[in-house]
Amino acid sequence: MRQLKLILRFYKEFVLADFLVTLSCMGLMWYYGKDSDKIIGILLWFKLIAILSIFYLVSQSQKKQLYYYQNLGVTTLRIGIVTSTLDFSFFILTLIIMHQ
Amino acid sequence: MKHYLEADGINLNFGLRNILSDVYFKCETGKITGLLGRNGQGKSCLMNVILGNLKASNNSIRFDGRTVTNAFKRPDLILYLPQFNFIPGSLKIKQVLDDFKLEKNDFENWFPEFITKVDLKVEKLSGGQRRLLEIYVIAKAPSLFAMLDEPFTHLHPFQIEKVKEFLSTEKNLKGFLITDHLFEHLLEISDSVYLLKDGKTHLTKTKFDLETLGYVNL
Repeated sequence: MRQLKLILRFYKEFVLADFLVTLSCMGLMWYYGKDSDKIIGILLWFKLIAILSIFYLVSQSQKKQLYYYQNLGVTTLRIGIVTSTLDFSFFILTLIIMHQ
Repeated sequence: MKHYLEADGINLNFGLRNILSDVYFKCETGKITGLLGRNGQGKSCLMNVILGNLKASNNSIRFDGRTVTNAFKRPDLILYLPQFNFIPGSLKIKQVLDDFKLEKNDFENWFPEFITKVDLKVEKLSGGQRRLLEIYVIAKAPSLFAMLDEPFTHLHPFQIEKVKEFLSTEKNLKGFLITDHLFEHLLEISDSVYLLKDGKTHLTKTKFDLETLGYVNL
């Protein structure tokens, strides 16, 4: 629980960027309306690449701060896995809701 | 009970440049081990190899005789103070102390200049105060060993004296590996000192050994 709290604290640094990508995907879904099925595959790949790119950029720009989390037992890899899983799950959930 | 951190056979190359070559050193709890060396000799690299952040072509890092390859996953074994500020500036001092499960009162006892300041954000502190906080959490948080990379940077003479007193007390609970360019301060508090030169460690005993090895001119 303590580790999750620390990871979420670091996630605050880039949650907005992740959310904006999700929002733009939802905008495209809404724009395509009934034809949105055709772009779901592209959106999934776009979101996946965006998640990895954003995390890479943040981990490079916040490299010094990552030592703080490392000293608390939270590795960069763990932060990456947890935040990416949370963000991608939220993305899938919004996709399902929009598709209905 | 004594605990030991030993490293040997460490080889590190960046391309064709040989940084560390068959490096050996030993640390133990209850002692401060100093690590000296000119700029670019690989002191910080050596610390990162011990942590597992840098992969050496060959190494053996052992805690109490057991090989540990990714020590950065084990803050109970070793903590690391990098040479730059690493605590996020947006955090409050009391939040940092909470994260490391440390007592505010003990921190204020050691460093009274922080009394009434624990609600401040770290970014509001001066360079020296920020360094003091970083040294305190790394030296005080529970772990067997701590590596401090240039702890005296940004500190004024009075703060340096206080930190030396603090580290000399804390060494009763853990082992320290410290590197800094202020070698006289380091010699004063260290139980043993290695000089890193030409990729190898040399165990030194006196200032004169450092002069013989070309580190200082006395």
